[in-house]
Amino acid sequence: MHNGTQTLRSSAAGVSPSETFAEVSTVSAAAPLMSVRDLRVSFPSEDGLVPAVRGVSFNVLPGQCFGIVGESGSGKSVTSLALMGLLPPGPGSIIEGEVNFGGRDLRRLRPEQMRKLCGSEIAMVFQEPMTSLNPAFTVGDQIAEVVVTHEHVSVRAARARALELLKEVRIAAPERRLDEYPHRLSGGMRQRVMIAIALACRPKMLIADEPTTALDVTVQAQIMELLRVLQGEYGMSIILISHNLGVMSEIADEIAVMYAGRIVEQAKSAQLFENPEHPYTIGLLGAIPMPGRKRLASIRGRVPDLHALPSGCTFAPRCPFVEEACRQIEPTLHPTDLQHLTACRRAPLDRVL
Amino acid sequence: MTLGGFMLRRLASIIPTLIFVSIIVFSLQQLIPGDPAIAMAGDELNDEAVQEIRVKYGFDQPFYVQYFKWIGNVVVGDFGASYRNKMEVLDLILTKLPVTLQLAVFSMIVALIIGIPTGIIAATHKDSFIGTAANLFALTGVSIPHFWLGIMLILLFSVNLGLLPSSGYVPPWEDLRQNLLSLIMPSIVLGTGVAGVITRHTRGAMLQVLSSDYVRTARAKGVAERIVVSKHALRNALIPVITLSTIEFGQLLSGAILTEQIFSIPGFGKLIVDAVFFREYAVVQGVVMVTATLFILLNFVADILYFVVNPRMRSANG
Repeated sequence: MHNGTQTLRSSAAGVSPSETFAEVSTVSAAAPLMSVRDLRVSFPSEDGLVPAVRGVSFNVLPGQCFGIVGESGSGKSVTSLALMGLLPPGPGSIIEGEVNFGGRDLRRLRPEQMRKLCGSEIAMVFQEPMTSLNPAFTVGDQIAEVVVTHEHVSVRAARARALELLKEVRIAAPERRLDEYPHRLSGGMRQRVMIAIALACRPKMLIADEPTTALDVTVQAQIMELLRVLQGEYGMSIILISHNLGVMSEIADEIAVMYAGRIVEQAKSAQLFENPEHPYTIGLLGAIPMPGRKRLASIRGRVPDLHALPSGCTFAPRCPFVEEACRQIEPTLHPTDLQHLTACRRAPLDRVL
Repeated sequence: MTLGGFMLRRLASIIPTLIFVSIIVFSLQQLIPGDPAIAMAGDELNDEAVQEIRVKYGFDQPFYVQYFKWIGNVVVGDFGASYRNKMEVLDLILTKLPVTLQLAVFSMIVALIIGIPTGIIAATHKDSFIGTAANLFALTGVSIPHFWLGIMLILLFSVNLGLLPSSGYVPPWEDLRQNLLSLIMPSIVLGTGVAGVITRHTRGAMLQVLSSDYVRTARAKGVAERIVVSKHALRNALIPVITLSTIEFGQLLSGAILTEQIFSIPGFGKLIVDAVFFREYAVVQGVVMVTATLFILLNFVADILYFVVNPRMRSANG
């Protein structure tokens, strides 16, 4: 609280938004495991540079599950890939900002150092389990490869670890799966294998980019439950990326809502669901199917074209609470409540309604 | 599905294909202009002699009778005889085939050794000067006419430097060193052409595979880029290249005519050209039948390789 008010003042005093955010985000006493500062990603296109991520900052604490929610094109997946250094290195792409992890800025590491970190300390689970495994190698080989890459163990030991991991991700008949090729496995099973690969070296941080989007609803619940249980067992931090707030509510401790390449609202999970401040978040919450809810609310309009972002607040063209001033200056993320940040000049909306 | 079962099924499908091919090959004699009986009669061109030849070789009989007689003999390895030198067609083929086969194998080795690495480099360095150079190299390989490259090589290595024999062929069992020396330039001429095709396909396949989700997974696992390319990507990218290579190999068996002429190599190419000029149906049919059979067998080999490198094939049924 104290910290929050202070930042509000310093913000007014002209300090850059990313710096103020750094202060706000360290409300909690624990040192963050990962600290992202003013991450910006732009891709070249025929119509010029497309800003996919426009200054994103957040902290992830040890053992915390940090959720990033947003629609397609909000920049959430690009953010996750940028953290891992996995964005396609095409000419003209620009990645800026800091990604501090365990005292190092990942963005400044040499490729070789980054490679040693990937798969061992930071691991990733992707959206498409059907295509994320190599069709030419057995499941066992693909899990054992991570172990062999990062730990000085024999192939036999790595294989034993692979079997152990298949058991840990609760796959049926793990002994048999070890020598099977990915095409024999269902989507849910493949995602379990992907999780086994991610956990192979006991990472401190797991980045899960829409891990359940491609799966059946029943399987989705199983995978989320598995991630929740494994997070406890391994004591790791998770960055969970999803377009589905329902999925988030089951596991995330803190949630950041992204819109058009920026975080527009960030709060503890319970706080966000009970007391959303940003009109976009309110719209998203209205779109979650729930028992007793006859009609789902929809947000009118479309996600803005990143080539031609509206001036001022990027959500203004779709916002029911829009005022003329909203179209002038893009609002920065600022504290609107205890540990609650919102990028809306009309927030908290209680005053408006 | 097991490899054995897969092979049996593919083998079973080869038989009707071969029958179909044999009908086409035999029908070709109807399409080649000119009357074989007249050609055979040579100087003694009178109706009586021609008629005699027609009866003797069965040209007067209906097409299907001729076909069944021919195919019946072919099955037991009798392709008839050349009327020019009275040699058995099978013997002719068996003396020429090893020459062409050796040339094709050497050319293919040249093509693969140049083509696959160049293709990989063209893909992994696609945005840099190196990639452009690799592309240019491939394009040059495809575009340079065989006869021109052959003559240039002869000028440089035989005429000016005197390092390699300009023409001729020595069987390996007579003089292995001379045999290898005589095949270097023809293999380079044929190989670079095929290398260009293989480079472009390897590049295309690699580019596709390198942007795939599973390569991203391999990178996320912290696998070294060198292994990502050589293991995760190449294993998958080679699947289409294998099929292409076997087809290209088949082309080399039948398409080395020009190169064999330039370097005076007594292979299949020369045999078939001579046979066509002299209207030697038995030889043409024999050579084409053998070439077609080899082509089908190569496809069979390609399928098996495809099966081995592509685990997804193993669960395909139907």
